[in-house]
Amino acid sequence: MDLSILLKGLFIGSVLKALRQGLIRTVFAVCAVAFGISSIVFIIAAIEGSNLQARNIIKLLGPNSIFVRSGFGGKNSVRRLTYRLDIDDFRLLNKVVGVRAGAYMLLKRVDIATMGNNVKAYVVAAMKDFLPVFDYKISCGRPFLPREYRYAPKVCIIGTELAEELFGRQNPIGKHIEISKTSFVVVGMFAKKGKLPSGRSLDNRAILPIGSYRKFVEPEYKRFFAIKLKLEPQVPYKLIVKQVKKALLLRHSPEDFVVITPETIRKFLNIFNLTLSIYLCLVSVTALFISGFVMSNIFSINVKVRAWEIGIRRALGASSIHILVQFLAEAVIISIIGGAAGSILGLAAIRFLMPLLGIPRVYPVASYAAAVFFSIATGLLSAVLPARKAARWQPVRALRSRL
Amino acid sequence: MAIIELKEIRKVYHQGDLRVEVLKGVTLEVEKGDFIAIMGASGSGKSTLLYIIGCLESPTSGSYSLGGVEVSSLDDDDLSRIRNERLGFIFQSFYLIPYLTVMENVLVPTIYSARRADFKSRARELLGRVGLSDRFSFLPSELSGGQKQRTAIVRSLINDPDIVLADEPTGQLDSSSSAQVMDILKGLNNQGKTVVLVTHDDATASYAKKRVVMKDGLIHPA
Repeated sequence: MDLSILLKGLFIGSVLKALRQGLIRTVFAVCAVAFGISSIVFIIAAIEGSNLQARNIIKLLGPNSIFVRSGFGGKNSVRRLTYRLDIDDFRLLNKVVGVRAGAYMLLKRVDIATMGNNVKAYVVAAMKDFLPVFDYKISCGRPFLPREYRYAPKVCIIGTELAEELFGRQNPIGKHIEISKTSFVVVGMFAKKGKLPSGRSLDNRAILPIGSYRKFVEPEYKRFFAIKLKLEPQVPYKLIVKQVKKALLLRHSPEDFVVITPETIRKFLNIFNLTLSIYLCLVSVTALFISGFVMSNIFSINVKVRAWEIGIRRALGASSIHILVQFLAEAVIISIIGGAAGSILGLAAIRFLMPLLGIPRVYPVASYAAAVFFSIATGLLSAVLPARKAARWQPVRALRSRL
Repeated sequence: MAIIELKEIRKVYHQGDLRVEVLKGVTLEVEKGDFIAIMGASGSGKSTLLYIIGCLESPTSGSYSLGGVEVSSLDDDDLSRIRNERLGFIFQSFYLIPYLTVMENVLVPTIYSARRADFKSRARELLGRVGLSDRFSFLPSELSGGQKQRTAIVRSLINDPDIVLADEPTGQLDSSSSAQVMDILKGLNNQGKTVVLVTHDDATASYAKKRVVMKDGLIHPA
């Protein structure tokens, strides 16, 4: 097969001019490829993004940890927040064999002010093991002293984001902030923790010793929604989880809590990923089929409209292979332009739609490779039949189509 | 020596159950350097004969030898090469590709040619000779009928063929453009090109050295 014409500038120029001549057909064909490709780019990014999310959540949970969350049992329990855990549950769980330490989560959104600034932020109560159990590391200043957990001192530890909001670039240690109209001294700042899967930052919080929290922020008794436990690595993990569930069932029957382990997160996200993959696969395969169908029709029309041109090219010495190459080259150019446009569209979808789905944004290289592959494959597959038909026409029949 | 030799050429078309015999055993010899006009009424089969001579169509039966080569034994690639290198076509409807300029249209046959040469210079020279040196970058839609046909003539000559085949080349032209086009064809014949012309017009045919008439699918002397 002689493909040397592909190297001739005149041939390439003629292909580009043919595409410009049928501009509307070209634009429709490019759009068809672009929509198909953008959905493929998006699907790959969405799957990679949710995998990253799974890894982030597991990282956030920390090693050798489990999370007990208040909520109705069943499939949707993780999404529904209730406040049914209490201090007795916490004491009970601390006694389970294999539990090294535990802490519960009490927090309230309040006004925090300095001389010039006033912001709304979460204040979190810290019991004795809170900082190590929830993996807070002090980056500047000091942690709470053991005695500070026993009464209600006016001291606090703040996150980097809150520090910046309140003090700009100044060192916050030793400075005063007003929490619920009571002045507290900042004694420490914790290292950056990042964001929750929901996108909410963990770094714009202030932590108070439990006594101070009870006295100045939330004096009325309140149940809480979560307990986190650090486990002894040498005790079998599954056994501890089983014991924790058993202990809680004594006080919570019917079951109104969920024990979250890295395994349950992985399971949940796997199901989520699978559902997402199946749905998006169907969407993108359908999109590719539709774009292939649209392109095939556009190429058929293209071949029909330009039948006499095929005839004159044959009369001037083009073989049937040359005609095939001409139409396939047009398809490849349309595919490349469509693939590029689809990638840009896909990137826009990743940028603006992924946050709406609660998936972290990723721009995987695989999606670009897939875009190039699928766009050229769709273009060639949909053009090959019309192009073969054009190549097989008898020159005279093609020429006479104009008469 | 005959450059084109047709023996008992028949061409039958089938349209559904209908069998139409357009050529009923045509025998014709064209000498190298000849200028022959094939005349005849519409539907007499003269264009079909020209297309067979031009390797654009194959006969149902009979033998056709072009420059000593039996054409019926050739495949699509060989036939394309012959059309590209040995034959030049001129049609009544010009068949210029509308989105290419005059220069690009003239160079289209070189896309399919294996030969390497300075085709652009040759195109410039030939276009100059037919009075189109100021029209290189014009589109066909910007040309008159006569200019279009002159462009088509230059296109037919770009690969320097032995034989020029013209199918009603003046059919869409006024008398002055027709005379110009026929003068060019006459000039080409004087330079040694073999010209086969199909026309139903006596004035056009008068430029030829030899005339034959097609009637009911057969050739008769004029």
